[in-house]
Amino acid sequence: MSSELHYVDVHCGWGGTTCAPGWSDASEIRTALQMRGIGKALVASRTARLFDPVEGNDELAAGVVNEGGAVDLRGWLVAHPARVADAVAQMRRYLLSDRFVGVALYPDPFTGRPVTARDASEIVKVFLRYGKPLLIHTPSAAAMAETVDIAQMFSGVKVIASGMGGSEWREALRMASKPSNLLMDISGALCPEKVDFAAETMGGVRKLLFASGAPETDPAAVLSVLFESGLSQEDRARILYGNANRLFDLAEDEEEPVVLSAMNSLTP
Amino acid sequence: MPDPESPFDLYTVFGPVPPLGGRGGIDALKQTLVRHKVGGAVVVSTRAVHADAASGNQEAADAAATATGDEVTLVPGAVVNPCSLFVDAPDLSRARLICLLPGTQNWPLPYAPVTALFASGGLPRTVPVLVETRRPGDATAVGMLLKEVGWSGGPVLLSGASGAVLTEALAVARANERVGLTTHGMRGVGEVKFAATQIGAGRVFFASGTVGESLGAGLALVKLAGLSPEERTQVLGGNARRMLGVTA
Repeated sequence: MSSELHYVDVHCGWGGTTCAPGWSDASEIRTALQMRGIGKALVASRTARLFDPVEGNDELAAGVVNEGGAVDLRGWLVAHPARVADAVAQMRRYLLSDRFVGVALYPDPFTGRPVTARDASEIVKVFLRYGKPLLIHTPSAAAMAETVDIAQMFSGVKVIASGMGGSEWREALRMASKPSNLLMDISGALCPEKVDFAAETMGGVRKLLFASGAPETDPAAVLSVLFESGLSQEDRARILYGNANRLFDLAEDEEEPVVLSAMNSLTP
Repeated sequence: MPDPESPFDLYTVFGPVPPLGGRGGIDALKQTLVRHKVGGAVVVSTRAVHADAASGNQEAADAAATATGDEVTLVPGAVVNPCSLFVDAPDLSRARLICLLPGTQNWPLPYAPVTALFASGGLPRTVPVLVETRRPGDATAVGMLLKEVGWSGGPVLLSGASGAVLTEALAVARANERVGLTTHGMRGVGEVKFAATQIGAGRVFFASGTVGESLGAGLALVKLAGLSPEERTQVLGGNARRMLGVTA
């Protein structure tokens, strides 16, 4: 990995959109992430999330093989609560590999209904044995409430709430500070006050991670929000890569302090 | 005086918003613009958006007037709330940009008072109009409205579109050359470039929604859009200055 690419994006998508059709091509994703200073990204299949988990996860598995390039892509295994047998089979197939970092759960693609503890329990009970983090997309305060329940029910698993409650980030953060196994990424609303409020509410940055949600959100936009915060460089470094490297065991070498810059990655 | 080549933000907002705190006064806005080297902006008051359009628009015009000679050029924007159209006819004499905010103010489109506004000459013919179209269907409704009234006034800028709604807004802009887009609300990889490709960079205007929304994020999206240097200059400020007649 390039020594200049320190940032770890803990949640982005794999799959093209109208405006980013190349986001299903590993080399195009790597190039785009590299331009934004991101050296490691944990990606989840959009096909798996929106359409067919089995097909999407299999496609992703072929895409996240280690090619030794500048950007290390690893996968989230998307599980759908209505397809437990498929999820269990794919966990067995993929989660023993270090190319998959954990399981991701999303609100229902048709109704937007958040993942509930009842929905998730069967899958999470099986998933516990792999000892990896669980990511739950939380685009609203209601979704965060359910995720807090899941984190409290399964205290032995690290749970990442991704999206910070969207535009309801204040309400979502207030309810999410308690469970010690619940971490938060900073994707979601592009509001300059959000990161400072999160650090204050969560009692520091120990449980905060950088994620973009690309391609629906450009990672550069989320990086800008972080760099508009009043956090120290040390705290920004923890959010950008320190916490993620430790959580996912991604660090290759002893980490050296680096000079962080949003604009470094934003040169036209 | 501001650098006339610097970015110009077509939509900024100042003033308190209760759920978001009270740190968004005009001085905070100016500081944010200077910190990001943005040379000018259209300013809109939260009082006009959330409480009273008449006094809020006055507040924005006064704030812009007192900024003369500062590091940033401020241009007054005025909010028209069609819900109170017949009770409280807006004074738009000082406005350089008129803002219609259906999503934020929670009124529908199509909406008879808005049709009346466009059809009856209630809007100055030479002042550009910004219409918030972040909800699905709003851009389509605006396109149909302009066609229905045969709009031949100033440019109409659709704002707040992202994802599938961006495609909708672009379809409206492609069908009517008086319609442009702002970058406010765009957030996805490739969205700014896609907009410039579909309707030309000359009809895409940088806007952020700061101070409530991230100015840095808005700038980053344009800077990383993969536009040519000429297109980037147009989008970041050239188009807005030309449209508003601003020289600094």
